[in-house]
Amino acid sequence: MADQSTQTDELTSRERIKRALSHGKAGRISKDTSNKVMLGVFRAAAYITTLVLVAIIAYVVINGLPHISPDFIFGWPEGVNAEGGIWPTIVSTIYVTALAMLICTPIAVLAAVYLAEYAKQGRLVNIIRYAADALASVPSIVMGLFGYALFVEAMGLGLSMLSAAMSLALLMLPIVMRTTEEAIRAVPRYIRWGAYGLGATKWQVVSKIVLPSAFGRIATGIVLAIGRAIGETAVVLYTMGQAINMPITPLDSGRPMTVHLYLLANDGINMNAAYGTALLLMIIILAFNLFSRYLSRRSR
Amino acid sequence: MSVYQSAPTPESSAIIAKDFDFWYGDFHALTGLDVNIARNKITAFIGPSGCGKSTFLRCMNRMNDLIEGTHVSGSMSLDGNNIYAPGVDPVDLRRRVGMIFQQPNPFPKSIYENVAFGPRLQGVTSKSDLDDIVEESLKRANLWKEVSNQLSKDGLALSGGQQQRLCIARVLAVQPDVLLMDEPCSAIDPTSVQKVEDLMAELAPEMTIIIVTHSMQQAARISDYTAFFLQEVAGEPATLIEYGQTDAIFTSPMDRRTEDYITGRFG
Amino acid sequence: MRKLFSRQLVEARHEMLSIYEAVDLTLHDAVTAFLTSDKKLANKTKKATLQIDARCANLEAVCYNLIATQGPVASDFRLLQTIIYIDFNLQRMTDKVRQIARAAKHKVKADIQLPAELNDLILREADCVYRVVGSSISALVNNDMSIVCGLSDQDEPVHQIYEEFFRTYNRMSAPELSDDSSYDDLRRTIMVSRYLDRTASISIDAACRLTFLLTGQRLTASDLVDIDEDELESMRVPSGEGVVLDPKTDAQYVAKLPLDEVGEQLRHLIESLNDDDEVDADDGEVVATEE
Repeated sequence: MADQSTQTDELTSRERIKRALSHGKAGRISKDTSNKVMLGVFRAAAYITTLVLVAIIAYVVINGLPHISPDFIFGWPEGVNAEGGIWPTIVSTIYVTALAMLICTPIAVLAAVYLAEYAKQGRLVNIIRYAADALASVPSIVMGLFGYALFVEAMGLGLSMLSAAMSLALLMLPIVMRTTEEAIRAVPRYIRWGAYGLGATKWQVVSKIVLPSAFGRIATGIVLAIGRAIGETAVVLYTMGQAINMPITPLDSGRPMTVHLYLLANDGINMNAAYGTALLLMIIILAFNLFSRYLSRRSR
Repeated sequence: MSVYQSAPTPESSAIIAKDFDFWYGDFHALTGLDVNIARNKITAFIGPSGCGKSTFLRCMNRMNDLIEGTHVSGSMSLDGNNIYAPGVDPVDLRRRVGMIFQQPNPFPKSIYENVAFGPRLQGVTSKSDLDDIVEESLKRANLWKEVSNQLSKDGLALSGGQQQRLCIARVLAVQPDVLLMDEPCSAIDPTSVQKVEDLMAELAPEMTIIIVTHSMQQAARISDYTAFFLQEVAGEPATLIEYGQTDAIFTSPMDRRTEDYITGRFG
Repeated sequence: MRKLFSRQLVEARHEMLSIYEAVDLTLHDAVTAFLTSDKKLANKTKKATLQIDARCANLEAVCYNLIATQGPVASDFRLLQTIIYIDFNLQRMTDKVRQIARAAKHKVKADIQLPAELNDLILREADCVYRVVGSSISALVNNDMSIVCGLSDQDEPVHQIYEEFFRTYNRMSAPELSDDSSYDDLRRTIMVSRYLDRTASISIDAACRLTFLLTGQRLTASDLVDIDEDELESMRVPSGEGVVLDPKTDAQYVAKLPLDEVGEQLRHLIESLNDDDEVDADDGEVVATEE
């Protein structure tokens, strides 16, 4: 060792690197210690997240489960609408969500196809994309107010399934559009080229290859958006009304589960019914999430 | 500028490029290409990465039209007709000039549907016709034996080499006159490479095949003619350096740059 | 790039030249042994030819191995083909040299005294053959196709002397010999002239492959007669480092050749090598002591 240091300038680069590496080891906290500390920190963070989720679910389940019965689910509200079942609200929620999906999906998917496949990539497309992202982050209460002003008042649709569905569609639109665009872009260009190489037109490539290939991911996006729409309160509060009503036509008003839950909890008349509703809502959303997972798994 | 060693005559050529230049937007990618591609022979394009050989290949079925801002000058004719003439529909052209890519790219559909895709585009709907086309194409691609009892299986479930042959079958199903192969063997295992090469040799008597390859050995093994492309200065357009019979190019190239490249002493 | 392969190619080329040199020197020994009826030298020569055979076989294996493993193309491939072809012809030449050595042994054994006239013819023929072989080597070292073109002219006197030898021999009265084996020995003795003639032709065959190496055209000695040098030069194609090597390095492998038998360029190269040796005498000593 001493021999080496006396003739530094004669060391080969390889020897110098070796020496630098061996010197580097000295004077540092041992790798083991730092590893263990960081592992602990990461674990703690993960446990906290899981714990919060478990706590919320457990709380709702414990409070809500005893109240759930076929009568509660399929019954009609009684008294000041705080007793009895919640069937009309469940139907209203599913009705409005399905309607919103029917309105939103074609528009969002077509817009995404245009953005991803047809539009000349450039400033305009970037602006559209940015606008979509901004739309996704508009607070839902603002969207509710806007829906009220436009659909309920200006267009004269009144507090109705249709007004609520269109407002919800506005909320879902950016989510579905962006996920669809991502899904379309994720289709490998090689696959498109293969279709073009066989003499397919652009529309044939999009309709026969790109959209079918992207279907799984598009569906996942739609399902996630639906999950968001079901849980939405502020938008529907302003656009659907609060009347307990079994909606038949799109112009009927109704009371969705979220609003029912809000009113129950607000008045504090029947907290058990509120928890029961909350639990049902959570189960529905969870079901949609699992369904979207299933779709995305299957499409791979 | 470029050297021609016993290159094909115009009479024996399927594709003739004359004074052909190509631009990606402002970037002048290829210049001054005069190439005759022999009919029903295998022609190999070789050259270092970025020398424009794949670009030139994609010019032959106007695949570059899909990229915004590209344009060409000069002429490129297929069987005597300029394919860049106004009124030529690239979609029709691509049916006559099929293409195989580096990455096997079966559609996420069944094997049967993959092969039937092209004929369906052309309006073939009869189930029995489609069955015939699928069987015939898979047989020509030497894949029939391996997949005949699992035609409804997803094309992506096949091995890489089988996928590539499925893609070849898919192209054969539309009966192209010319087959462009852009590094068809660089993403598959050696055994499959052999099979694809055998397949090319079987197809060549009735089909003009052009293959872009990075493997000198492959070019020397399978091609009748070889063209060497080179971009000498970064930013300048690439061009053809030497073109001629494969034997001649690989035994006694006339150009120093060809010699250096194929013997692996490039740069 | 491909440094290892390039080195292997250059090594193969040097080995080929070195074997060529060995064949030439062994040929000298064989002829000397024959003319001076030196049985010891004849034996030594015969052993040397066997060693050369082994080197040829080894070189051939090396070349085929490189072809199989490196996938050579263009000038690399031409070089390997050329080396294999020349190597094969060197084996044929070695065979002739061995036969001359064997003839020398039989000549001593049977105590055959060739008439001075015939002895002289053999000496003259051998001299011409040395020059053909020397020129062949010079052509290869200097990648000089003009030498190749001149080889058939150089072969002319060899052939003439060979014919003259047999004419002369036939005119002589045949000696009465005691038994059949003595006749065999006599036949071997006079066949030396034929062996020498063949050696020159084979050497020319080998050297003609230089045109393939440099132009990619397979031209035989008879084709070359119709082509003039300028035309041949214009057919040159570019070649890699294994082919167009510094001739000075090549010259080291043939430095033992008699200077008056090689081409002018090669002579200068060898002479300058020898000059360098004297300058670098110190280095030489160091190497020697290390060994």
